[in-house]
Amino acid sequence: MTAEKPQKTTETSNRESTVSTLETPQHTRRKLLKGAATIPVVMTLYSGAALARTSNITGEAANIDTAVFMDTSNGPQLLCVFPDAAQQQISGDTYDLGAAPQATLIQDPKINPIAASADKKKLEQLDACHAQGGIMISAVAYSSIMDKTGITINSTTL
Amino acid sequence: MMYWHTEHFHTLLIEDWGDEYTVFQPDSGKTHFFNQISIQILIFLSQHPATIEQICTVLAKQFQQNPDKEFTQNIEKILHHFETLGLVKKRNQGNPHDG
Repeated sequence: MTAEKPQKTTETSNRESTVSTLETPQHTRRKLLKGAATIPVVMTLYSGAALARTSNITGEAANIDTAVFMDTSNGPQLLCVFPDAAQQQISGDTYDLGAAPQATLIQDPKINPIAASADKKKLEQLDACHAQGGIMISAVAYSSIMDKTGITINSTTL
Repeated sequence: MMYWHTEHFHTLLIEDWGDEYTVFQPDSGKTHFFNQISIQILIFLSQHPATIEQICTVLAKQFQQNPDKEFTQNIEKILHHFETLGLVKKRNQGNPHDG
């Protein structure tokens, strides 16, 4: 082997002529890798954007007022989404809903949206959701997930 | 004798970032990061199918290293990693230029 260095942007058709050069490139950028240069390293790079497109990681809605309630013939029902059991959940307050998020609508207690008890019953629906292992998500998170993968709602009460 | 050689090296698109390299592999659609010594291994194998001993001898000389057991193990590890990525293959034969 000679002390050859690949030249910037080599092309397929003229590999031999462009790969071999003694020219030392100017490098002012910060090195991606620090450490011993005599240990061979290869790492496969992944696009952050691609990962973002395929992940459904979200947190629980900050409060009941930002949660998603679906209007049904039986009144508003909390959209209760389930972290994907097949995914290793991230510690903290974030949940991975997986590639095909699943949800259900909480039917009990029934909410009369104009009654004074509406807020209390919303919280009771949230408790019911938590009891099933689900979480409430915000309208913003809902829109984002619907744009990417959609959410399957396992309910017949709509 | 086990010889290592590159696989579809001519299809790779290599970008030099100054002793660091990104390698786009059209076959897999993946982009890999290489440091100086790992890209030199790949280039060397594209020109000369070689045994691990031959690779270590040349690299040790070029990088002024002692080709000790640890050095050889590091080279061997990266060759197997290359193989997993489909960048190199190994052939068990007497003459590296046969078949």
